Amino acid sequence: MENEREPDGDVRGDADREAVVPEAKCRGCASSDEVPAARDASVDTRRRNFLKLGAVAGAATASAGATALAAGTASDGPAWGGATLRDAMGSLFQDHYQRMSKDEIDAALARIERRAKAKYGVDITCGNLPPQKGVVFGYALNVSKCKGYRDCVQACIAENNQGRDSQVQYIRVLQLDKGSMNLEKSEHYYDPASIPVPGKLYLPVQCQQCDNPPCVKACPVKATWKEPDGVVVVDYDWCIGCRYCMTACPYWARHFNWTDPQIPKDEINPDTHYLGNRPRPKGVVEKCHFCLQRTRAGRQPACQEACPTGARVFGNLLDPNSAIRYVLAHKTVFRLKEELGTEPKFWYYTD
Amino acid sequence: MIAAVGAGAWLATAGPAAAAPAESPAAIDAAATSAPAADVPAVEASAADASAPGPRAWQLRDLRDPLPEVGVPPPPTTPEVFSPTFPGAQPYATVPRIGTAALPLHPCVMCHDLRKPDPTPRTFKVAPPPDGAPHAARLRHGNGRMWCVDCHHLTDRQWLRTLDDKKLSFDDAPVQCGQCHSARYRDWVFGAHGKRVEGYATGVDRQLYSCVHCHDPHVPVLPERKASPPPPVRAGLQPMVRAHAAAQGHPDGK
Repeated sequence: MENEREPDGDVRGDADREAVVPEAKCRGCASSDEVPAARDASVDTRRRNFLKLGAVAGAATASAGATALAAGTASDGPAWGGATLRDAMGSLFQDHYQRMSKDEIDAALARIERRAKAKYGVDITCGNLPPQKGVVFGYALNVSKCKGYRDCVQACIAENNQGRDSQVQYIRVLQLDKGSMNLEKSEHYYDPASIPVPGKLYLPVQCQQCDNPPCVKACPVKATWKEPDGVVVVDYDWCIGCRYCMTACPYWARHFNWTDPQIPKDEINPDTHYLGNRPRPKGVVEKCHFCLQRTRAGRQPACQEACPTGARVFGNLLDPNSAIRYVLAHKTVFRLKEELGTEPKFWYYTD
Repeated sequence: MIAAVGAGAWLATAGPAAAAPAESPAAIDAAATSAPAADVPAVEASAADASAPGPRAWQLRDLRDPLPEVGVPPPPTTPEVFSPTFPGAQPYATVPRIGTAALPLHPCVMCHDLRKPDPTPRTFKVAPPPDGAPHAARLRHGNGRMWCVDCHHLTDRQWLRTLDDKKLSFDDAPVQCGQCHSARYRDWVFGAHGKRVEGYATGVDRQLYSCVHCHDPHVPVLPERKASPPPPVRAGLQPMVRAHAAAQGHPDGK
């Protein structure tokens, strides 16, 4: 299987698709009884479609038992997480984001919306805004201005539908001694009566959206990749939760979702994106995505909007008139762990 | 005294000659440690020998000579006009404050027309709200170098005042701030300081938050406050840094 993978191409051809997809996701279903019959019926359909056919046929025969099964396991919640059998099967056979056709993506988005309705009782809209032409996102953060208030963290949690009790926070604000850059001596959990503390420096760290991202190389199932607008994203339905990418990331920017996200119903952000802030399942790796649901629509990320000191500058790196290009041209900038060659698109500057 | 003469000689040499600055610090050191004041020309001459042969285009000036007559510079032919923007900057608008909750007492003349304008600096005797004035009478800006009428128009209280005594709307406060804080003002216009409303794209309406949106102009330093809560630690685990720091004997480890 490994040698069928192209070295850097994220989109595989049809030949690869037939071979790889059932191996990766559908091994359990391939042994069901209906498959041989379906294969006899239509010889030249691709194997993936056989499996779907078989599943639907199986569903028809088993639908009578399904309600009984759901009722029988009431203590563990309804079967298939409260979804219909059709949705459960659709999720099971859902393809990689980059290989889905438009119809398949629309079906996936509708499933996400139904799942959120069943789980949180909220009507969300899950969009799929494509990257804009001629836009590569970049971020600059003024270390001289950041006072460590952590308002960006709170705004990120609210915007991105993060579990309120979990430790998944895409932004970590590190408190360092002034004049030092030893991240290992940094303090994540500072909580003095008032900040800034004299002699301390505050360094918010989030995903640096590397141009040469080590996490993408580490992923064994290609569930994470770099979009054309420079943002490293995760297909949360394709991630298997192995956490290799967390080990590969030198910025501690990837976080594993250990628990089912607990979000109060009235605090759910209903404006979501497939690759962005849609409600994620338990057991996958999450990361900052520069608020794709906002930035691809021309808005600024939530952390920028929440910053009380104006320390954050967001913009299009390809636009010579943008604010971020002014910062890069006129300020003393540095990138975190630049010597690793990850080419972050996140700059820190002082003035 | 000797060092001062040496430094003076070095300053006088700073000019079009290229070799002089590299040689002169050594000359200063020599003059400061051993050579008396009378030796300064000799030290200078040796430096000149070492640098380059041939005549030089500048003359060393003796500090005991009277200063040359400079005279009053002529007035500039085109007076410099302070502009609200810079060449090459994208156009912008400022988030309005007049008529919003940000300036609840705004028609200032409603009270201040009744009071006689008094430009002399004095101590505030007005009790803070709610007992006294409807707005706080405080000024901690510029370390005591400033007084109300430096920024507020003395007779027409409805306006701010520029340094050349022009009237300025309260919505144009950044122009006023930029008269002194010119570098910050430039950064603000180009987007490296302050905040922009909503979008990031250029070529569309760009709306900037005014300086006074974040800074109280009378007490411009941002107030200290408590941070948002720190990240939670999962059950059964210690906050990693404190545990690590304690193991290392770091003073921050508790």
